[in-house]
Amino acid sequence: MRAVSGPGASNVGVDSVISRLDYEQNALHHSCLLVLLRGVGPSRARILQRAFEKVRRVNNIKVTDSSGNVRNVYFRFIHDHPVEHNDWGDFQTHRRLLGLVTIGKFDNQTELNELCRHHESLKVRYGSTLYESRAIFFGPDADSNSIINHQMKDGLSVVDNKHAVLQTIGEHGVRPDTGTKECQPGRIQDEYTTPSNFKSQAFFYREQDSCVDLEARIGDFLNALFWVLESRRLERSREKAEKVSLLLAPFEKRDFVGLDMESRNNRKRCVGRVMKNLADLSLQAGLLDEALSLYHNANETLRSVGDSLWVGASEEGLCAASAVILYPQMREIETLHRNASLQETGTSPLRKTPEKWRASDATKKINVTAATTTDALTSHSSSCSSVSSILTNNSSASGTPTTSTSSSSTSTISAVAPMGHRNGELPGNILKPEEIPNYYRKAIINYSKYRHAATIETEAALKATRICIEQNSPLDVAMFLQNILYINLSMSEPERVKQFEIITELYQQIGYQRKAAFFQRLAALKHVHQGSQAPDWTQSYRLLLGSFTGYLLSLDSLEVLENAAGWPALQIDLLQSLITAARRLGHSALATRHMTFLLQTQWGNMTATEQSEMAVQLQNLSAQCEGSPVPLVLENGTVIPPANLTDLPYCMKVVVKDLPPHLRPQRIKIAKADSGPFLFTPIHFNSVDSRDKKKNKNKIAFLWVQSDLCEVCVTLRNPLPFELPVTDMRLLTNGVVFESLPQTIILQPHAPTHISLHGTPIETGQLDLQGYSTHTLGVKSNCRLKHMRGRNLPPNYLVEVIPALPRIAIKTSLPQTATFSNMSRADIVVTSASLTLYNGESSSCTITVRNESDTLPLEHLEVSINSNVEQELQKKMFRIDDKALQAQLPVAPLSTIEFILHIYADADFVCPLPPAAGSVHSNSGGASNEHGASSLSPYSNMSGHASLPMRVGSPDHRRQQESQNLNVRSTLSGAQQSLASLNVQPGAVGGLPNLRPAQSSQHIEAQLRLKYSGGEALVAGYCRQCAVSFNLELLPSAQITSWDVLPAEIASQFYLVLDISNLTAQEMSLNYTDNKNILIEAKESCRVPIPVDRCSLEQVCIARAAEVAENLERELCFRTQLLSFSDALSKLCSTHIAERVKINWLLTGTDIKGVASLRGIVLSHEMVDLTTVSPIQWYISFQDAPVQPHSEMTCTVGQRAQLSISLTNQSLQPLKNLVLTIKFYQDYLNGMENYNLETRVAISGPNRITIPVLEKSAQSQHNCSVIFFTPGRFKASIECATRPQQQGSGILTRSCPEATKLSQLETLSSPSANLNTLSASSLDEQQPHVWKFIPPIEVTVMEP
Amino acid sequence: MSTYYFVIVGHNDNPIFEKEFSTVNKEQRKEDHRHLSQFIAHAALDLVDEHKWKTANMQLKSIDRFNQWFVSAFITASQIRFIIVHDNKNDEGIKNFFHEIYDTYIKHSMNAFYKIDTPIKSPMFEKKSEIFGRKYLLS
Repeated sequence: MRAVSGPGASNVGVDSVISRLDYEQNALHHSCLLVLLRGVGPSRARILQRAFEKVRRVNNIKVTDSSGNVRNVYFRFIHDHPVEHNDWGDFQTHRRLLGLVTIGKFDNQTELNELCRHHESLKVRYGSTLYESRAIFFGPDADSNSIINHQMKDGLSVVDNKHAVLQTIGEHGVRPDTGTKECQPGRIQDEYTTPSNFKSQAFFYREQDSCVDLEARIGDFLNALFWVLESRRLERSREKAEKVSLLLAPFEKRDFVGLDMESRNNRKRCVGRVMKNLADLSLQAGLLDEALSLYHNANETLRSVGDSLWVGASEEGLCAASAVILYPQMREIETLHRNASLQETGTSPLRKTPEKWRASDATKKINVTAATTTDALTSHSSSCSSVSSILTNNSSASGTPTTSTSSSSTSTISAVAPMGHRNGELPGNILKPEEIPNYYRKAIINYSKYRHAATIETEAALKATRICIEQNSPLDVAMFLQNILYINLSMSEPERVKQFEIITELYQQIGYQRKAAFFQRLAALKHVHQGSQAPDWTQSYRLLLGSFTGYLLSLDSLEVLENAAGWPALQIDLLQSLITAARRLGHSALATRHMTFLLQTQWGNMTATEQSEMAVQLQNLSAQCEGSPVPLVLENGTVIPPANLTDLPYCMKVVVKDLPPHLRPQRIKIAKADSGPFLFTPIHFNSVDSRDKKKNKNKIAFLWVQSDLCEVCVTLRNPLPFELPVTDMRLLTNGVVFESLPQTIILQPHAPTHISLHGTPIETGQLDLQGYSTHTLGVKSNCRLKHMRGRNLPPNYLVEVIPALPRIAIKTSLPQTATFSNMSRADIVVTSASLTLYNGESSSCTITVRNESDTLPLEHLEVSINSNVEQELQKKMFRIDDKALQAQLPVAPLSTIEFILHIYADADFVCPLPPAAGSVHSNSGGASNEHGASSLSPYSNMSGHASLPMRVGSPDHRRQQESQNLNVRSTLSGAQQSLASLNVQPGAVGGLPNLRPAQSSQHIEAQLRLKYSGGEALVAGYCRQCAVSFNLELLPSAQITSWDVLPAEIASQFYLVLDISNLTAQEMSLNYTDNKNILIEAKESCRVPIPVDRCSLEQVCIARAAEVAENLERELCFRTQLLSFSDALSKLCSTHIAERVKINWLLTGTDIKGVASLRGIVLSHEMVDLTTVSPIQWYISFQDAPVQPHSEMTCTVGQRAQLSISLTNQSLQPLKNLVLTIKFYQDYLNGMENYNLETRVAISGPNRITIPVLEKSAQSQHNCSVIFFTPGRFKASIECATRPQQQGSGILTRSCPEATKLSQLETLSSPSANLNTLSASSLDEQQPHVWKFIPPIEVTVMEP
Repeated sequence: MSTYYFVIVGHNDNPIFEKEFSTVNKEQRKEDHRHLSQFIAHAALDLVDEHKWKTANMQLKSIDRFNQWFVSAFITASQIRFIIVHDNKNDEGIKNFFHEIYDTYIKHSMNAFYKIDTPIKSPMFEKKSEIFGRKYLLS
């Protein structure tokens, strides 16, 4: 608040020209009585503000005059009034100051005296025009004991009772009687006395008083003013036309010196001017109709004498009077505008013009009621139209066109019924709304003829502008405002600035933002004009900021970028001016902020050079005050939102990184809870969740772990031509508490740079990654992804943070591998181990697990093996004692546990099946396909090799080829003895060198996977997985290259003959039975016979039954491929051998030893027959003596010897189509056997006996006699063979017709035929079998 | 001694083509001038927008002035505004210039690769405007 304006202000305008423009004036002020409202004494704005408001609220009174009409009288409170303005009081009476109200605060008598002195001095200054004055004094609060009732503290002291008349005039009746207050304690005026020279009426209040009666008192005061004015008006109206003196505008005084005042012209001039003066007074006194008539008359009179200045004044008066009637709401609108501007000025509200203090509800209320009484004039838009329609009615009725108002005015003056228009009718001589601008134009033209009337002219133009704004005709507004600029008014620079500001405000009111901005900028530049003595940067800054809207700029950089509108060159210029202003003001923070804003918003509109220049400027500015992303609040309350350099450096890509694979959390698989009988349900009870997930498209698929370091990779580019250091780069997050680690980087020009930003989530839950913050060019910026434009960046990333998981470190007792595993999930491998073993060797590895977590125990540990060998094999090769491991849990923080992994180098020792090929093919994992293919490739060129057909192809294929191979072997062996098949093998042995490369060593890769968890994460069901990679090199040791089965000396056993090669480079000691050892040189092979118990019949039966069952099942499933019984049997025999035969080997000189198994040995049909116990039990007697193995039998030449053969079926099935053959031969023991013995031996009876069916446990007896003709050693081969059925069908038909029929059926439509158990057994019978009596009978024939 | 500042203003108050024509030597011209012209042209947009709905004419003669500068405007059918800030009256020349430029602008805007409201960077357009400027404004 400006308490006291210096008395020096009064003598500025010595010249009669109005020194200061009243820019706030509008047409309605013509009807107001001017009252100076002034605060005096030391400034106490806060305390007095309420009093000011109260006084201002009373700006209208209603007075009933002597004739009973209600007069509506308005007052205008101003804060400052140059005395010389009073000089224009004759020209326009509303310029005269009529009342004075001072408000002051005192604490003691001295101060009170000072306040009184001020009041009196003001009274003196405006004494020439002042009608009346009041002083309102606020004293100190009464002593605490005297305060009883706030309400009752009020006191009134009529210090000067010379205006006692007021009490009689007062119509409100609310004036408290002085006497009633006498009883109240602490009357302030009793404590303090005003000085004797203080001759005004004063109201005393306590400081905290609510001043309830203040309005009423002011009302009284205003009433008093009105009545004085009314008296003046009446005085003026009663003046005789002949006697009136000439009224003069201040500058006219010299012009009329020495002129003849009595001339007719001048007389008329006098009358006209007086009439105009009277009109002014009438207007002020609330007599609108009279005022209108008088103006019309004055206008006519004055125009006739060519008194242009006063013609203009009367025209303006007409406009004013019309406006008062037409636009009463302008008072209201004005208060609203004042209110709006009041907010802008913020902390120093009283520095501006006092008018704004008129803002109050009271005025509005009064205006509203006034408006409602003239019911047609309620709303702005309707007022124009309705008024004009009324007017046109009037004018058409009277028949006077609008142009002839002056002529008709004389007639209307008498016709005016007092206050008639108040009842809905407008006076006939009122100006139509559209005429008002014309009248103003005329007035302005008239004024413009006088150099000294420039102020009046300008004010008229402003008033016209405001009327045009009211009329909503922006073009007229623009025209009047345009005109103001060309009024030749000598004014100071501050005045001109003020003018620009007013023009700005008016343009803004009609929505011409661009025009407004233009003048606002001009005003701002004028404030700090080069020649200016005291550049006012504050104002300049304020105005520049205000012109933002006009240039389509917003304070928020985001909004500016969003709109992308406006004139970039102008925006840049404006911003630069703003930065200069801010810098000059010393607001470095603001300057930095605006510079940042400039760079951020106008980057695209600048050339590369400009960009780097601006960047350097920003750097210089921020050196003084660092920019940070917080809103700045200006003194006037304007908030400057933060500006962030989101694109400096330019972010090209953001990648949220998953944790390293071995630290990645996984779900612990839990056995699914029983969810009812339905495997699949279309009803999703948790569909809400899934829908939520869909919504969050930016949700990251992986998880982060609490208190684990996380990473986001950002690719940045520096668009500036110089190195750009970016410091303190951090991730910006929301949601979960996140600790970001700062990162500093220097970006080279134009080169994309990758940078990793790290941080640790402190809590669990959802983490919202919004972007990153930077500190570059001295400005801290929050670069949020959603604000980065023109890139395909999501607005944010959502990452789920799960509870902390423990971490472990793993060590093995084995050396690490040099190579990396190419197995799947190799990424989770944390350490590796390598081991070389000979096939069949065993080893172990100690694995040490250390819990590295500081706080979390390791509560869950799950170990599994994963390798590139098939599951079965893998189980044999790797073994872990899981129970022992689980017993060691939990592992306390920072402690360790150990467990042992047993490794056995299992391999196929049986050639020609290379173990690698076998294992590869059987590996079910898809991932190993590649591996398999690569390991296969060495064989692919051998696929055509007849001796090694089974190395290629799928298992099915292999099986086929096996059987083929067996066929080959059996055909080759043909009629020869089964041992002959061994002779075939050398081919395979010969092929062994070819095998070597594949056999040399085999690599097995395995992963020991550990799933571990602990703490809360375990409860939440998360774990981590890491792995130890094992690289196993299997070296070939012993190899069985070929094998055969030979009958043993006793029937319960057979000999397994093996060719075993030592593939190592050392001598090998082979232990093949309990007590038999053999040494094999390196790379050598040898043949060993191993006696093995035969496979019992029970097992065969079981195998058969199983096979039958399986066939049935297959048949049910409509499979076409049926297993043959022999296949099952051969498998049985193979496992039988593998179980019984273990070959222990030891590399001599070392402690390397191992076991070779015969697993996977393939037996031919003949071999199978030898391997299994024969279903036929022989009982043979020669010469009535039973034949024992290796027993010596003798007989003599020519003597009959009795040979009795008895067969018993031991098997569970009946045997059919048996053919018993007895053959004698001579073994020369040189490999030659002579069967051609017709001349040496004869058998009585057939030597081929057919036994159609031998039922279970049935016996068949055959007796014959043998006669030897020559002496010598003879051998008898007795064998029993089955033949395929079709050969002996004739016999079978007799014995078992059903079976035949079935078997025939089968031959016709073989595999898919219906099978029952019988047919299954018949299938077996299809196979030819030969059972021999072993050993052959040896008979020594001697000479008689 | 006359200067003309010609600008085509897009729908977002953004200049899409700017050109100055002057009889004064380039050295003598001040950079400030251009800036002022820009500001004047921008401020005139309010009046242009007001007037364009009040008249059927495409050309708006001297609708605004500031000190010695006049503003003439031309509104295309698609509401693109051509503005000339000039310091001497040359209504006829300006009218012809506007019409020729309008012709050229339409042809340019037909180009499928030109997006409305974006700066015109065609050398041809530049050349033509230069020719028309010399022909109608400076002669």
